Amino acid sequence: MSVRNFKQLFNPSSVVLIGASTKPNSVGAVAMRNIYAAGFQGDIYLVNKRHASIDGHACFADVASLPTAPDLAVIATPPDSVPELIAQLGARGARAAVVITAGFGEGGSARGKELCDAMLAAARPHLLRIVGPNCFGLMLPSVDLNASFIHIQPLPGRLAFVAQSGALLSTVVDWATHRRIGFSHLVSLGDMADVDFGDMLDYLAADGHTRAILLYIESITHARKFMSAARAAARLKPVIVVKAGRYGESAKAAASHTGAMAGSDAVYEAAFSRAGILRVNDLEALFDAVSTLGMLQPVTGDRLAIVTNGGGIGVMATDTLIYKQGRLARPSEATMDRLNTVLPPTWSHGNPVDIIGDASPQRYADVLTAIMDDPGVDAVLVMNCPTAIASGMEAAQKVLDTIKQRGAYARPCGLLSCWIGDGPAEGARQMFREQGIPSYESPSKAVRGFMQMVRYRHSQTMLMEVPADIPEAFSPDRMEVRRIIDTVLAQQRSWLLETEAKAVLAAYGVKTVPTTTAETPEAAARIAAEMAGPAVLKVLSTAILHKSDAGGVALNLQTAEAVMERAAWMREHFQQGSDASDPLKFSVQPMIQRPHAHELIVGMSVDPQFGPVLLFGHGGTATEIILDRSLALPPLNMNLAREMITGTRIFRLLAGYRGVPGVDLQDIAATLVKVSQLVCDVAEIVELDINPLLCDPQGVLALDARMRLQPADGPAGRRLAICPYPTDMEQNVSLPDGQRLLMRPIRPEDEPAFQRFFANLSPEDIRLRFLHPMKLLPKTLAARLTQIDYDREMALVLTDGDGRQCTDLHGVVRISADPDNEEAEFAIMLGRGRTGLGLGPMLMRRIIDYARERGIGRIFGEVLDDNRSMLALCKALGFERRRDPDDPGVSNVSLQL
Amino acid sequence: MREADIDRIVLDLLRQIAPEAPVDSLQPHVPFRNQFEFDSVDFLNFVLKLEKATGAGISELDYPGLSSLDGCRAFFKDSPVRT
Repeated sequence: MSVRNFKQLFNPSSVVLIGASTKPNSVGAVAMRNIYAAGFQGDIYLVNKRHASIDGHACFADVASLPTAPDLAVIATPPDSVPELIAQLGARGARAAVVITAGFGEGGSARGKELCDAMLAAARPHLLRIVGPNCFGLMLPSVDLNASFIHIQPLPGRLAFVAQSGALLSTVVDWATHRRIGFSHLVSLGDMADVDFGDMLDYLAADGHTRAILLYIESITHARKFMSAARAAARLKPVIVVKAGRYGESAKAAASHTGAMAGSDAVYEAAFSRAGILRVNDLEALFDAVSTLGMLQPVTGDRLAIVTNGGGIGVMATDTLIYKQGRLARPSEATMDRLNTVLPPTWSHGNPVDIIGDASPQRYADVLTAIMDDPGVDAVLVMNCPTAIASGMEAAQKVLDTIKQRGAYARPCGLLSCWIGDGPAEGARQMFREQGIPSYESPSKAVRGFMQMVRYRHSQTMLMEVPADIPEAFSPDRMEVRRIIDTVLAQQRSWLLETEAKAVLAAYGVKTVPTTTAETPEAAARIAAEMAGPAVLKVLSTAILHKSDAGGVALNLQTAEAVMERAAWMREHFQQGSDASDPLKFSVQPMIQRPHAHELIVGMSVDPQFGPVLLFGHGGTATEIILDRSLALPPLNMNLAREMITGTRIFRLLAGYRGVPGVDLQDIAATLVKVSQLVCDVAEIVELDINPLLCDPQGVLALDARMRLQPADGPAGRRLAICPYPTDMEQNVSLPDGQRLLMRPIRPEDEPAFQRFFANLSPEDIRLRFLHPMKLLPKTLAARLTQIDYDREMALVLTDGDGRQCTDLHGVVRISADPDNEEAEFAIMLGRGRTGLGLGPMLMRRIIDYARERGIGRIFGEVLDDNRSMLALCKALGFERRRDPDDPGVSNVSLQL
Repeated sequence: MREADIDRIVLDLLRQIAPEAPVDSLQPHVPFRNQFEFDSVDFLNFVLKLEKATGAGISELDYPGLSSLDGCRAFFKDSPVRT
């Protein structure tokens, strides 16, 4: 993870174009023209060994001849020349390059791949960052730089747009410029040999000028890095994505139901959702979303009230709302009474609230006031059709006046508007937008905007969820699972027998039906006879993938004789062609008959990008046909598990319907959490199906289970796209007065406590810690400091008690490592009145030990010279101190580990 | 370790680290820092010297527990006497 040298990349003071050309319409010629035309204020150098000048601009013969080290190089020369050029640029002092040239292995060329590796190897010693290759370049309107071969100059603005596809970038610039939409950054990443979406998200999240980040993604590299960066960025500003390939490549051949149903696009969807990224379908929706989310409406749920002076547009809005799975708010009786008093008798008496075509501005005001006070309404869409009776402009003004009068202390309720028509309606829409109220020209767009707000708000909640790596009150028998896994791997099998798979699940507390192995048909009959009631007989084989399809499952066998007869048939049927010395075995289990039970599926498969993915859905033999499933990335907690369940259609059945009682959703959610934990703990599990998982008011029961193993190629946690909260770092601390504190890694939900902690610091403490006075902790910084990526940062906090609740913080210590894990910067803050109790030395010692365990070579920090106690503590801990030559009054302290 | 031995070691160290500390009238249950000037560095020096004097290894998690005389007594109560 690195944004190292991004300053030179995105705010260069000088640019060199290598491959400047005289050939009209060549990439080199167009890029040169663009660089000059955009008006870049820094130094511009051209390199071309065959020309002394091009279009009156002097050329240098080679990189070595450049008068100064350029910050940024733009390369448009043949691929063979690029590795050497990168080496020369690095040696000359350049730290960033945009490689427009293609031919680096796209399409699978071995030579191209070699060149790409050579290019990266040449860049590495200099930490020179590369955008591309095979890209359209980058445009930075805020610094008047257009280092691309795109045909028009974009307008400056506060949106960043990052795409793999250069052609798409070009389309967006064209499209947006005609709509007067401007950008802070436009970057075509091309093949992403070095700089990728994760790096861009990290950089743009911290860029104060960028208000929203727009991505066009075809695929991502380094899923874990992407997820970390996306989650951090999405906490600070809207991140909106168009992901191409929604319907392609989803039907891959897979041996499990889960594998067959977890198409790559669905996995992306799950990843975006977990990262707090809003996904939209097309470019128009992308820019609509930007303008909608830019207006901060207090939308807290999906219940929309529609107020309209035209019945038809109300119905259209309702249609779109239902189609997009929003909900029509139900006005309370009190609201209905209020509406009856202010509306003519012909009003619709429900939602949509049709206030009739002759609605005066005052009628809008009265209705809006009543509706927005209703606790069952999350947002109001107020609409206006032009009529000859009442002025749309006056109605709009009255709506705005009404909102103003409600004031800041009124009940929070979102507001969107839709003034239909051109002419005066356009003016009304503008009026709304100027007051921060999204306004649309059609009902469907307005409802889409509302649902974007709903989804965005929901995604923000989702991204705050950081499940623990060991959920509370859950103690699986890991030894038993390890024993089974090792046995199966020692036998060089990849599929577990059904009995083994069930034993693994049972060790993790998943309720399974008791299942016994029978060596012979006679034994199967004996086991069945001992069971009360009818039996289920299954062939016990790892070679048969879907047993029921092949006739390997016999249900509801009433007698022991029937079991023996069926087992004998199965042995004859399935034994053919297989090893006679290894006779076919059987599993016998009681027939579970629960008339109102639902068949569910819980599963997991490994996505090539995102690693393990969990699946929940409508199970049974037709599960792939029904295709009602929802996916999520582990680790899960109960909230995220419930989220998975509610994302399916069968959820509505589970809640109970037409006399069929509802089931205990907690039980299903707990099963998902247990399976998630299994997947997080056992690196060897690569495929898992529990199908069916029977579920009724008595609880859940796994009737069948399959599991596939593969030798692990690293620790189980490594393959997860989302780093779990490291529970094992939690430690109790006792004060002599008996007060117990918990030292634990920081969590996103600590943000309010962190803000309180900051507010309680003295101005002097703040100056000493942040090296300058600060009255308020900006929300962006608070978010950044509390939502950390445990892979590359660690912050330990001291909290009261067991630290599970959001209690006050008493101290924080953190380190932030560089991408190469060579050195890390530390910082420490103790709460007022908490000094002299040994907490400071304890936190410092703990974080130093942690850094050492992580293999970090050195930790360092900046300390103000007048922060004598910190300097003394550092000295006592063995830090070396050097005065900062560039910053009088500041010392650099560092400790070799 | 006997309480008298613990007290002797602790008070002796406090005299070295914080010469102005009212060692003779120390209140056992009150943190040192509430009775005299005793900052983080003093604390760290105190713990390091305590380790040396008692021969006991002190984990950083135990630091806060050692911020009063009572805390030190409780911590070293079961430690063997250094010979």
